[in-house]
Amino acid sequence: MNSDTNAFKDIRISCVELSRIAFLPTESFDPNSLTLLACLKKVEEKLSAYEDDSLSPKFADYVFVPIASLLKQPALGESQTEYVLLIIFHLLRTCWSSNGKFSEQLGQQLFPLITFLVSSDKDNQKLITRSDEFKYAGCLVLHQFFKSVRSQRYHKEFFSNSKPNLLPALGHSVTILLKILEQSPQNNELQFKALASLEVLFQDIISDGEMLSFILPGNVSVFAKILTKPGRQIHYKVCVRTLEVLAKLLVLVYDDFSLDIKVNKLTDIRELSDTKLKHEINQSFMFNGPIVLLRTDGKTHRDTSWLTATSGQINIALEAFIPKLLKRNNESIDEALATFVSILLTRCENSLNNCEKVLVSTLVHLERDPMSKLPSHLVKLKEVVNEDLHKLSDIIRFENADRLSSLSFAITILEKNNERDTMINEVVRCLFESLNESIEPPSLINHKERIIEQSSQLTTTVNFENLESTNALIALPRLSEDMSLKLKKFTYHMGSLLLERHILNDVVTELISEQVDSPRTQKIVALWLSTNFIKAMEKQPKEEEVYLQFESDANYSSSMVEEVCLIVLEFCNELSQDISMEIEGKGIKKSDEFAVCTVLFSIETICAVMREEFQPELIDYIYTVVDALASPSEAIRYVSQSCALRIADTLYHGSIPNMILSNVDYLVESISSRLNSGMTERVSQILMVICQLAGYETIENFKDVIETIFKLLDYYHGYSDLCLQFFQLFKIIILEMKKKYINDDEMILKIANQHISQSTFSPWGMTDFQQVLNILDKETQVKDDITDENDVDFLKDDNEPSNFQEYFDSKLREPDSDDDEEEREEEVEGSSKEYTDQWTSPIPSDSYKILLQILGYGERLLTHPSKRLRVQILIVMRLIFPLLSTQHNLLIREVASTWDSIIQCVLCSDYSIVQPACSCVEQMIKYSGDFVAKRFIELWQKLCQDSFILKELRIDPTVHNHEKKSISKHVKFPPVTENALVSMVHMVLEGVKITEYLISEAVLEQIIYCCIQVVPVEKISSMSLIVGDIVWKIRNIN
Amino acid sequence: MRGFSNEIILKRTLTLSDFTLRYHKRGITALQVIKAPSVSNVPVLLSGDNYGYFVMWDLVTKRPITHIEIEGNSHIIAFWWVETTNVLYILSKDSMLRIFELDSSTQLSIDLVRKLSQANKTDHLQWTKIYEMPINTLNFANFIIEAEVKPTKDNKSYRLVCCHTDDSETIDIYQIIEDSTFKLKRPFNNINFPRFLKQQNFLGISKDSKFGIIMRFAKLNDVIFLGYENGFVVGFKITFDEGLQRDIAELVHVSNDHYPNPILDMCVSGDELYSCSTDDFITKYKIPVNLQLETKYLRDDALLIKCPSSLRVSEPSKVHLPLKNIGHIDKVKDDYLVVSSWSGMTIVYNMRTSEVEQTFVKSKNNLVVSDSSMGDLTNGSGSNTESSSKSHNYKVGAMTCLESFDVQSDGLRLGQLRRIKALAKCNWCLIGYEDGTIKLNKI
Repeated sequence: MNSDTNAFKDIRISCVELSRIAFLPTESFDPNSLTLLACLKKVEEKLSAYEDDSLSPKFADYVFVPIASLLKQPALGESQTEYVLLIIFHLLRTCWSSNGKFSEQLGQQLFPLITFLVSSDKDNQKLITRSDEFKYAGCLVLHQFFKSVRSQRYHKEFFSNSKPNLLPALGHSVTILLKILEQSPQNNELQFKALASLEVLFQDIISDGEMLSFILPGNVSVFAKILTKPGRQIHYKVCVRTLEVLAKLLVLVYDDFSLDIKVNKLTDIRELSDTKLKHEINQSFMFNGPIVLLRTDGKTHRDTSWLTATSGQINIALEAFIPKLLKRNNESIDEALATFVSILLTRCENSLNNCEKVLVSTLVHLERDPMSKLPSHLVKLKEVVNEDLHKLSDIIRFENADRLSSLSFAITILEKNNERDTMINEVVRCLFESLNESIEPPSLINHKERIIEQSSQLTTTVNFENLESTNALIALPRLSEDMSLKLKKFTYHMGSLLLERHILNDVVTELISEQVDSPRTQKIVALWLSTNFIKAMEKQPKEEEVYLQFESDANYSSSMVEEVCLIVLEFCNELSQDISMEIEGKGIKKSDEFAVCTVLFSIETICAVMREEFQPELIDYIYTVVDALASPSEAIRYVSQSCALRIADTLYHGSIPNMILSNVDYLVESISSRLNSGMTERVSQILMVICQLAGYETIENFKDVIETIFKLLDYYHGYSDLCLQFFQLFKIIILEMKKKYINDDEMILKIANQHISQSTFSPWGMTDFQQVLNILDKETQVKDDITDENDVDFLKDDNEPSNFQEYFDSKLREPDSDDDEEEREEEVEGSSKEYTDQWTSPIPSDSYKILLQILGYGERLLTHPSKRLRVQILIVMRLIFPLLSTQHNLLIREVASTWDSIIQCVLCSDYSIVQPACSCVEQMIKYSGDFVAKRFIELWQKLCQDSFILKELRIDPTVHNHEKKSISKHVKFPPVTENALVSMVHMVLEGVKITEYLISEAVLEQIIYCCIQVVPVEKISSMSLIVGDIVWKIRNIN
Repeated sequence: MRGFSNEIILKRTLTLSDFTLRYHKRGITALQVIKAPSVSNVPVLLSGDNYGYFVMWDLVTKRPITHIEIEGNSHIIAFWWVETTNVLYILSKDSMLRIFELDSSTQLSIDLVRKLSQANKTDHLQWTKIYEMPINTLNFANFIIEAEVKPTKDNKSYRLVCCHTDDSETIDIYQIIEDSTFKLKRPFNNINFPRFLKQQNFLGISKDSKFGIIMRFAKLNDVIFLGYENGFVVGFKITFDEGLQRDIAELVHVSNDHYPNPILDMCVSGDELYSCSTDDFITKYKIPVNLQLETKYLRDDALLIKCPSSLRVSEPSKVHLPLKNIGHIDKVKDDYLVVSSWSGMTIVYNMRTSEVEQTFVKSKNNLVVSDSSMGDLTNGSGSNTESSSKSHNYKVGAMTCLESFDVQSDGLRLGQLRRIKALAKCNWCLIGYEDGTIKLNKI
């Protein structure tokens, strides 16, 4: 009691001071006296210093004396009352708290007093006007009072019915707390206190459902009001607390066990007539929820009709506030809500049976089930899922991703707990329908944007060697990427459920087989869904699971996997053929883009699922993938890259070139069949890639494809883009051929030199020692031939048989000659040809023929209006002539036949054509030598007369002889002209090399004069003695 | 007029091919679809070209399984696969008949390693040349090889029917015995049917008329047919003659419907023999399976030929076609006749409805180039001319058909089965062209 004594000492003065005012007669008592307030404050201050339960009731009695007399006064000011309440709070806290210290009698006296002090009127009108501090004091004192009562042994009976005198005060206190809770949204502390008070009151003191059921409606409505208020007004922690208290209250009132609920279930059809009978008598009977309370004593407040009435109210309340809370999207609230709902589902499963749906759907929306309640409410869960499914297209269209994932959550629980019947089929059907609706709203069908091709020309060269996996996501048309991803995940998830149920196969098969006559968008949706379902199989089983798997089971599932993959693959093939037919020549529409992406995505997925087993399927799909790599659409390129990489990773150790090389035959076959059906888009591009990767050797096997291209040139030479593509391809082919057969340009020159005599000044056309050696070699070669083959060379022009074999052949031919059997004749011809025309070229005659064909088509198309095409042809021709020179007699034939057409290009007014034309002619002169000497001389005349390019220069050296300075390189030409001039001069100089002694000095001078205006003089004068002389003459004499 | 309408029919039924097999760089000269259970449980295709390349194709994956390059790159004329002993005979223009065996040792080792994956069984198949012998190839005739009915493991015996070493009007029959080494016997040397027929004054053939070279061999059951250059078809079988106490050639069939045009190809189907020539019809003979035993024979013991005295020139049934110069002929199922002409055209002819159902052509491009610097004098204007005189199509080097077949599904993976079924459910016409491509066409 030491503390008591000290406290006495301490507080005595303050109490005395307070008493002075408290004991004033009523007339002189000022309820708002500041002195009084000061005194109260002092006492309160002293009291607040003491710890809980540190003083004895005696001390309280002492302090309470002045308070009691103060309370006898007719009125008391607000602040004064507030301090009185605080003092009582402290007294309750320090003296009247623990068991036995707070007599029941005192409590009964004190309680009405406190409620009155807090709110004197029943409607709590005054309370609303009070300050927050006042309200807080009220809450404090009520809270502490309840806490003190709770500690007493009599706490259970404190409010029980036997003491009805306290009930009004109890009711009042509850309304006070609720009012405070409701009216002070800004003051969380206050709300917490109020909630805490109510919690103690309900849970620990009354804790009787029967009694609480009276005050329940008011409570629920206030709580609901609080919970429905927007987040701006109600702090989330308040919500959490409110939910806790509400849960406790509801559980106390509606506890299934204490209510002794019986659920009437129809087990027999005869019961139906019984219940119908009852229905007429009892209005509140519900067919769907025949819930009856078994207690029959009739004294209780909570009977069946009460339950029907109030549970309906509860349902309304729940439906009102739960959606609002869900929208707040607050983790704490969500968690509290989940607990709240779970508790109700556990404890009041039957009594609040009518709320089952809202509760279940809440858990679904929260995507959590902390107490695993959902598996026992499958019927309602199914109902909820069904409702959501019917709204699925709205969910998708409005991009309600949360709903989607909660739906997925619900379906999972349904499927995992429902062995017998499954609703996943329904899910798939709804998903398919709603996706269709949202992807292609009927009214919008005609508004399709077209993807602008990057260029009508093939500029998109793809670097097949460094592809990067981009993990590209294909957004569904008209949906955001995010939603697409969500949908994808959802579908994937459904797929894994299907897989678990072992019905993936059937579902996909059905889905696809239904699409026979569907529009294409629908087919694509079906494919998209199927693929995402299949994706679920991609997941590799964990290692330990592999060991656990039974052999037969593994086999079963793998064959299942294969079957469904193959069905989808076939569908892919069909679709992609469809699409490519449609795209061809028309450009890719947005919807096509999605379609192609989906097809590629499917191929990738199936490759990932089938792994090595996918290899043999490549025959049909490799082209689709490779073709897409070169697509003008960026999205398609991305998806195809990831697809190609997947295939390469799975089957070719990650190497795309390997993948292409290993499937060149299939690729070429696809190209060939496309070409044959007139589809030319990107074909040459792909062929180019193949050529570059695989080299000429492979091309040789595909000569028929080149032939097809020639055929296309026959028919479609009017389409410049097409021709251009092909000539770009020819360039690659020629370069590859050169790479294969010709080591370097030296080799060509060596072969060509055997026939070219560069200058009349060199004896027998020989200019260096190597040529002498060549000649000698040749001679010995001929000698060898003579000994070996019976003078083949000398006899070759005669029709006499040159050797025995030929003689024999010719004899053999005789009896054949009357039955014109071409086949045989040609064979014989072919063999005799070998003797007449020796093949010197390292390029085999088959390949050489390809060159001739390219040249031939090139020549024909040189009159094409397209400038780009002509330039390309000239570039190609320039490459061809050196290769042709390896077979000299054929070269000169070709030079002769193409000369005129190419010269037309040289004379052209467009310098961008003149340039390649000149380079081409330069090559022709270089390799055919003397043969074109006369033609060159004519060419110069023509140039002087008709050429546009030559007009850029001064032709006659004698005209401008007074301006010595001008005889030097000009630099003022625009680049196109400059380039053309340089090429022209190179051509002319190449011609001069072979004709310098054949033309008059005047002409030569003219030529050289032109040349020095373009290229450095030194370069020209070093060409030969005579040219040097002329250069000197031009510079010095004229 | 008729030719004109024919052209329309052929154009209307023009069909694109379904797949092209590319590997040969030169013209295809021979094709055959065979069953090789040790390689694949589906029929495989054999092809040969005029550059000595022989390829075995997987018709499901459309890829070569294995190939042979004949030394000297000599033109392959014909080949024959003996299914019972896994042996391949290749005849090429260097007058050699080479015998190859599919290397079974490598096969075995692969099987042990990869028991499960049947697809990979064919990965490293190799051919080993086991024997070669010279044969007359002055004409382009094929040959006939047949294995003895019951080959034992270490003693296999084959009968080879081919042109005589220097007289290509006559034939030789060899017996090749394969035991530890190879032994060669020639039970029949220089069987001269023309001489026999002339001697017997069959059909009133004048004594100095020429039969010309043997163009083609064909075999139906135990009867071997020879197609001559003058249009005669002669069928014979080897029977044991009591009088001579040795085997003798017994003539069972003589016909001359194509006279004087050469027999270009023959094919057999069921008990029927089809033959074609440069004219616009093909002939069909029904060969009775069981010939009643004859008692009276016309015979020439020196020639080792006998002939039932009742033998008459067989009455053919002619099938007229809208094509001439039919170089290749094959028959699919009961109704379809597939023929290729020298013009490069192949048609599928329905004998029941007498209609051309499909036409396959591989056309050349318009620009014809020549690699000869001499041959263009006639055209005058340089090299690149649109040739109208030459055929615009690639010639057919060989043609054969594959009938639809049943698939045993056991032990196959689904994907595999599906691809095999795609092949098995249709009839196919396989055409080898002179540019080295082999086209697969669905009939």
